[in-house]
Amino acid sequence: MTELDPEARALIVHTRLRDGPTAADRARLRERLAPLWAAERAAQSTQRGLPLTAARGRLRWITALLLATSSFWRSDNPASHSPAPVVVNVGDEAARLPADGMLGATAGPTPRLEDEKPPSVAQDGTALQSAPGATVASRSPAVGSRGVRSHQAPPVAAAARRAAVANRDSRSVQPTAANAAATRAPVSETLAAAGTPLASGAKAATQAVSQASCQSGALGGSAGSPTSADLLGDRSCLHPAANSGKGVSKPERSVKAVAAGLAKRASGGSGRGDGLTPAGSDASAVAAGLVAPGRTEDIAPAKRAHELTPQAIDDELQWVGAARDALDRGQPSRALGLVQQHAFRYPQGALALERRAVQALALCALNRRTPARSVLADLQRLAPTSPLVARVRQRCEL
Amino acid sequence: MRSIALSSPTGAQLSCATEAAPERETREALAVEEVYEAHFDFVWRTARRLGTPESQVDDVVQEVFVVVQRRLAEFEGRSQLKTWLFGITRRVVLANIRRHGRQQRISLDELAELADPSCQDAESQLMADEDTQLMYSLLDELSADKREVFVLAELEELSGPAIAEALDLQLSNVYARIRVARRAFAAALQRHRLRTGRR
Repeated sequence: MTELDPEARALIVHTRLRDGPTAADRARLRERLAPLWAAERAAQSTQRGLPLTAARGRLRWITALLLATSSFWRSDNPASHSPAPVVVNVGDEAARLPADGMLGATAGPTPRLEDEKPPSVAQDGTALQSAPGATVASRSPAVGSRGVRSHQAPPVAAAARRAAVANRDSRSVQPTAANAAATRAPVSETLAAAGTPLASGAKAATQAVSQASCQSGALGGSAGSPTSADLLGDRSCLHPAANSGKGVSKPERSVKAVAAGLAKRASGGSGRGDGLTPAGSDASAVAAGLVAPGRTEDIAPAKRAHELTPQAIDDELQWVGAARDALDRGQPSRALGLVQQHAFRYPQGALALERRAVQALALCALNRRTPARSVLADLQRLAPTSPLVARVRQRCEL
Repeated sequence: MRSIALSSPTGAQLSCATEAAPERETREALAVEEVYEAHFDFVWRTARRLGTPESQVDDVVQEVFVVVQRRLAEFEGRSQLKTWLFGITRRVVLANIRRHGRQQRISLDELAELADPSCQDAESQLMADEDTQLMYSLLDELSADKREVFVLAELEELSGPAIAEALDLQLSNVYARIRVARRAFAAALQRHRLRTGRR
């Protein structure tokens, strides 16, 4: 049997005795893992429930996250204001989503899972209701879908969707019918496969409201903001296009009205960006033409070639949005855990740049400057002209 | 004080007396938090010793325990929990290496930055870290299969049967690999001595 000399043995013994994690390591990882474990438990318990119940639970969770992000966004942007709340019908109940984005924070009933009744819907699966200027009707999407209630989705969500669809067809700037069909088909198939009529209105509503919210809120971030809002806030919100108006169903017309109404109340017009797409184009096709400046041209084509379904984008938003929120709450360890989850699931996702930016900021907050520099270098390599690079460098003083 | 394993691990040498978790928990009794508290050290060490750079070990360990939570229901107790955890850690480490590639070993100047400022004897700690870094450097010179068996046998002091279970090998193959791994480690140490002028 091969024996090791005394020096080798001493080195082995030393490693056994001295090498290992500290109590701080243990506590830090525990803090990072706690929310992930809780989320996994929630996901597992949701999946075990009835399909419609699970869908509503997931929808509510996604909506709460996006609304929270929206509120956070506006609080850091002095150029924004609070548009009128959007009333959304879920089944037979109307949930009034407060303008400040905090679900349940203001007066108005919040539908509870146990209180919900089977929705009364039309044959096309949509419950239609209109109110002057500020009402969107939508139906809860089915199991496995990531349809989001019509609400004031945050600019990041809107920008992410736009960038994601843009990545799918980076050469396309103007909307085309092919883009519209390609973007809409996966959602249709998913919802149809789940046994629920397509909530095309919901998707179009989401995008239209997102566009309006983008105009109202995403104006380049606020000066002196100590949080990551300004880091992610300077995405130009290009002028959105509502539905083409050709052969749209009732929900889409309502969405168009809402988007127009909200857009009028929005402050500033710099969100128009380069105004690539005229109003009236198909919402999903328009997304293909909305490209954040300095984004896709900095990324190699191979890195854009990945699945960009609405479900995947929503999932990415959950992780990156939660990480950003954790960072702003002064929980950089938790933020790191969340961005790591995003990186594991979507290494080349639509929000890969934002993830890296949040990761770098979190590492800086933990005084881990060497890995922060590494992440920043990675970010710079991928998107050298992105404002995220300058922001991270400024915040971290790297 | 642990005994030094100078002979081949033929005896029932259980490892890691510092971890008090029962070896064969039932599926119903396990919660991921319990597994974490009992085996965090082992997972952390294994992640480092299998080649995870220090800057990435947090991410790897986190991912391991996320996977553990997802797959805990599948653990039926037919194997030791530690060997099951080793398998997960190993896969996560390999995936991480594929994603990030192998990092350069940090310099001693950077090592000085990492020294615990609260430690009164910073120099001794720095020297201790140098020895640990030397071990990691030598492990880096081993191939993946030799590294794994060396870590389990020499550093974790697992028994032969436990190593066979962890690596899905025949017991005879385990002992053969241990011999080869020791030989490779000794050669790596000898090369280090030649580089540094020590004999």
